[in-house]
Amino acid sequence: MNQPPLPLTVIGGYLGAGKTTLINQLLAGSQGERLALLINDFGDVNIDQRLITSHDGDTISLTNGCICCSLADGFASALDTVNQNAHLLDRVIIEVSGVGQPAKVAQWGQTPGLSSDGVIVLIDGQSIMQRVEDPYVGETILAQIQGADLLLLTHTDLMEAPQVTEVTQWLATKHQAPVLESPVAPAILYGLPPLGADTDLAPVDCLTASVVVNEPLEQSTLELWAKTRPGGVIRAKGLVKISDRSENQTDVQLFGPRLVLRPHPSEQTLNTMVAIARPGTPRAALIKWLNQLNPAN
Amino acid sequence: MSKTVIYPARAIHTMDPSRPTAQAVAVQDGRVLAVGSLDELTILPDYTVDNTFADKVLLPGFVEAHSHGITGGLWMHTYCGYFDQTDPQGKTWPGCKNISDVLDRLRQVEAALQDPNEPLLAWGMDPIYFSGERLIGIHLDQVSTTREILVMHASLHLATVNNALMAAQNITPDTTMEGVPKDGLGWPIGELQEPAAMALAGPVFRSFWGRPRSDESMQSLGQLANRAGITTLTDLGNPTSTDPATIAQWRNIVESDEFPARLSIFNLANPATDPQAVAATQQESSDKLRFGHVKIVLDGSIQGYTARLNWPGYLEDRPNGLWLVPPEQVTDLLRPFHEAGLLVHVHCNGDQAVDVFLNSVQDLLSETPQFDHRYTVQHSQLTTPAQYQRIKSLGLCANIFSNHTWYWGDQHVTSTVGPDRAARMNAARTALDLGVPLSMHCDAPVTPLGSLHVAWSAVNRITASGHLLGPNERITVHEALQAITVGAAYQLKMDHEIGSIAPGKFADLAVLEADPYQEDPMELRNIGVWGTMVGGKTHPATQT
Repeated sequence: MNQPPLPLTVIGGYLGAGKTTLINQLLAGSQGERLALLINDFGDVNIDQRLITSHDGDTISLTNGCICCSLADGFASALDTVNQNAHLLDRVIIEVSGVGQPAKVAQWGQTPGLSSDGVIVLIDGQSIMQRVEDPYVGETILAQIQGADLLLLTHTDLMEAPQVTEVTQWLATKHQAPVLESPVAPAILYGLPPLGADTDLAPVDCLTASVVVNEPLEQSTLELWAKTRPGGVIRAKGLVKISDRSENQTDVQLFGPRLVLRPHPSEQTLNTMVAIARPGTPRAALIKWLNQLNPAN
Repeated sequence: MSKTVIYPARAIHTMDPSRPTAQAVAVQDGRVLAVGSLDELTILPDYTVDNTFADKVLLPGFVEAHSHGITGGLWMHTYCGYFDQTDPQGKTWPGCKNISDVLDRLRQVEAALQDPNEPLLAWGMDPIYFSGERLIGIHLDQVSTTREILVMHASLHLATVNNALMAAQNITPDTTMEGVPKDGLGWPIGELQEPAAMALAGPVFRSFWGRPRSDESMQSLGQLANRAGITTLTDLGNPTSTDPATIAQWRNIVESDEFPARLSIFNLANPATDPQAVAATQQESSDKLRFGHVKIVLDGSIQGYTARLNWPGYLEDRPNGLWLVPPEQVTDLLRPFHEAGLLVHVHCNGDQAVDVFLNSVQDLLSETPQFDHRYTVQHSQLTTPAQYQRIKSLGLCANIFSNHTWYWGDQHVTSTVGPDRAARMNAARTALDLGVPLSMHCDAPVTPLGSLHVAWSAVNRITASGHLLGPNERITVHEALQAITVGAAYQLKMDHEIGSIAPGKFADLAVLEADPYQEDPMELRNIGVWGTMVGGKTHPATQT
């Protein structure tokens, strides 16, 4: 496989949580990253007509290299369009409907040619505590939360600080994924800059660090390491050799508490792990944790 | 003006209350000119008598108000369902009662395939009846180790494939997708769970849905209708019904005199649907083909545990079902169609979905009155008496999935909702007693296209294991036959044209071999269907 897999990010959350706002921010701030946005309704995105290079009904192409694909005919059909244009794209983002389950949709990210890059669930901080009690949609929203790799709390600018704390603490009782307050830099949502890239590309308002892993790791070592992460860690990812797995390099993704290991298809050998943590996390703690991957040191 | 033809019959049941029975029907220019006794009709000027139906029993052509256009096309794949079912050519395929039967069926079909590269696709297999047996890839390898095989389960959430397919599509121990279970040695066992995993089957999976959209498959739909006495069909929920290519394809087929049915196509709408585009397709309508109505789906299915239920929900504290539209958005979704005066039918299997739909209709009617809207609760399986009261007072209709009692009644008692709520599922008696305009349906291909079976199920309420389920919700033969004729026509806003045998209506007839009013009600589903008449043209069912 010559083309590296396209990272796929799933964005979900109930009505009013701010998915459309976020999608528009990502589209406007793509900064050269060529996104394929798979969305339910073209009417939701603010696309400057002057930036449209073509519109064939199900796909809109933009001058900045991004494309928007309608999900009207389902995920398979939209991802066919993505596959046909894979060499012209850097990332896929799927917007899940307000009652959809983003964690289920993320299954599509495991399709050959794609690489699942996290499930972000948006939560309207103002209404969540009432909504989860709703007899019609409470269970649906709770299941969305429990399928997230990252929870993004929105509308906190309209809330008092104690209310934000209350909601954040409540979320922690329902699910272990990191909770961030909106807005955050796209790079945090996407997890991390591409492996091997200049670290200057990392978002400025959070902390990143990386380590070169010298020796093959045992899978159990990696699993234990994941559990001992410092509190502020949002994500980590890397390509390493795992001694008890057959592939040359394993793609390691740590989304909050969830560790995902997949064989990496390319010939790349990096043996590198990168982590990102929320601002305020002690840098020394992050580096110490990463260095645990090199026990001989 | 064509010459008048008088068709005497053994018996005619018109569904016209002013003249419920007759001896003969006179047809001119595709319409009923007169219906009555032979003496009354033979005073007409210049007629001929056609004795084709002299020993037959005539009813208005049956109207199936909830079926899907894909029904005929599934027969391009091999049927592996649990119940006997008859294909468009009239061949009856015995039900597959266990995995061994499924494999026998596939071997038999495989042996007849000429092209060694043609994949073998199967449909309808429902392990809910297999007491725990699980079909996996090595079973299918017993059918062929070289030909790609895909067996779609009835739930449509799961497919089983053989190792030849997995090899061709590169589904290997390295496949890391969830929903691709593996054996102890790390090899995929051949189950592909949920759409993302099923899509790994590549072109074979795509052809499962692609083949049935061919012209040939649409002709098959007509043959199935003809065999069931159905003269008006629905494609209830077509996402591309505003697409000129879809319209052209259906026009080309349905408007041919050879196609033995009328067809009403409902647009499957979502928040991105343009109501004006749907309304505009009404201009494309003709005597045989109707466009411009709207279908919306709110929840899933009860046997799939995805319908939305009010408390106490599913047995064993299973989680509640899935919404396909956020409940808070339903009013906004319906509003543009409501304001445009379009007919809207809404899929509500569970009683909570019914509440949401009724609340929205009440709000919309308060904003903008619409007289004679005929909005319809589709499936309406768990609707309570209180909800039927509201359905009546808001001017809605119910199209009830009465076949469920036979096909899944036993599972509803033991597994989904328990004996009390199962007994009141598909409550046709309650609906009629409260004055709700009633139709009943098969939802083909979910259950086979067959109006007499639908009527039989509502009249007898017998489950597949022979259990009488909810006897107080049974209706009479006459009520059931009304529901599958004029009742269904009303919900399609076609009751001024079809649904009864009356002067001025289209000459659409179901031609039966026995009289449903004379037979034992338990025999209703076994009454032979000679064929149909559509717009004055006779369509004998092809014999095999």
